[in-house]
Amino acid sequence: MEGLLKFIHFTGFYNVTPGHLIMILVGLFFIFIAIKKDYEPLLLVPIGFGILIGNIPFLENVGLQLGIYEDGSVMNYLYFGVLKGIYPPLIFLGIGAMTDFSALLSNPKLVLLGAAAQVGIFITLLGALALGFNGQEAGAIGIIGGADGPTAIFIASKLAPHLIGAIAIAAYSYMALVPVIQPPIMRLLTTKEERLIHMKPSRVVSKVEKIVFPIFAFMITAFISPGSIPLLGMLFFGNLLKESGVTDRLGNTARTSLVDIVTILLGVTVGASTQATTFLTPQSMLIFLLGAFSFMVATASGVLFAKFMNLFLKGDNKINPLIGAAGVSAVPDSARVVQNIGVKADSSNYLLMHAMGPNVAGVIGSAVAAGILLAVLLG
Amino acid sequence: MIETKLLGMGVNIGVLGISVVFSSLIILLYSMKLFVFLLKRYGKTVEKKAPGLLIKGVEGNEPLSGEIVSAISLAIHMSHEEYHDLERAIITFNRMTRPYSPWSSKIHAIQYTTIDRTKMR
Repeated sequence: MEGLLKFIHFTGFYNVTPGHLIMILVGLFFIFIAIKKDYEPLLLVPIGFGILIGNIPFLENVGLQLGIYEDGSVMNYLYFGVLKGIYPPLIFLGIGAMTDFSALLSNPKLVLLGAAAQVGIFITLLGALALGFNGQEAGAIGIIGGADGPTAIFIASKLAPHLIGAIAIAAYSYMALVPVIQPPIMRLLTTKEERLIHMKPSRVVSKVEKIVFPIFAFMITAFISPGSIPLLGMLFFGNLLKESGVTDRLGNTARTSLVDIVTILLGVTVGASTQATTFLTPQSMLIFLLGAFSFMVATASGVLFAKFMNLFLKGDNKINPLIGAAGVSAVPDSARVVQNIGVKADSSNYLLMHAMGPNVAGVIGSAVAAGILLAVLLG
Repeated sequence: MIETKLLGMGVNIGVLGISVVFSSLIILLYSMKLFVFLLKRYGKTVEKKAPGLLIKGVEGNEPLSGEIVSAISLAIHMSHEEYHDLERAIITFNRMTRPYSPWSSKIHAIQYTTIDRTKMR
């Protein structure tokens, strides 16, 4: 009888709290929108299931070594890759091996839109400071505005490891919600005439340019912002594997098997890190609010900067301001959103390739911004 | 007081951050422009090295027309989605059960013609 009672004390039913149930519902919601609505399923299914794994209640601190925050547990070992910032550079390697920079190379001025959208990071940093977070926490929260999950995790792991779960969940949730968050802002800030602007077709980019770009870009950005070396180094290395033409096997592994494995580990552990006992705090709620705000500011600043650029551009060199919204990195979702809004305004206006320019520039811009935050706030 | 100091620090970081992000991407932009310029001026063109490889009507830096881009996109899309006329190479045997009917009877379809076997030799 005593054994049975002891066993009952160990069950999830005995240890459940309202927090666990709320988080389980959040996990189920993530899985639902991933499968039903097809919102970032490759991220939201692992994260959603990770939330379920992390929120099955059990008796803590009795040596079971089950929880993600308990030393020696399997989940704790897997979480090591998040805490030490190992997974994000590996994800960047895969992203680099998938990314085609020709859209950016064919129209280099679009790189400025990728820079403009990073305003969201720094305005959110100010917002976080105003709400009482300390400098390092504010920096880690601000990076959500970069709309780049791996960068957000990388920076949070360095600046505010205790907030990593909330920041990662906020970053990935809003990335999945890009098709919901961005369109109203884009419509609000552009006129019908501006949405109808057709952009000049892109020029053909030579193979030499594509090979030289990752080397050039890495050297320049890393010399300016060495804090971004782990991210940009892997991004451009992956891209060189793709473009060199002599490392197809490596490039292929980086963009398929490797990135898939790391995505699974990252998604599940980030999800599991949202254990109700440590995750459901007023701070987490504030981070969610600030995250949404940063996405909106980033989108708005990209669009407004595109309009500003148009003041200096003439004739068919004018750019469609919608592509400014793709400056938030969320690759390639924000570019797809631009394409959809552009086609709705004019069914013959294909903006996807033009939007990919600011989109990949946004990845570079957010990694540079991350390096600056590390240098200033850790130094 | 501390909050004001913190906000001041935030403004400083913001201004510094935005300036550095912009300047690094602008340097990147101009260095790539310079590289393309030097490549055009001093680099060997593809045409000189292998004239046969160039596609007629598409010059080095001439923008592609919308029709060409859409035709290429459609071809890539169809190729990725496997919209082609190959069928799956899986053969399945499904047992067909059909009730007997004289109308579909095979025996009635056979012509009763005699074969002169002597001619077959």
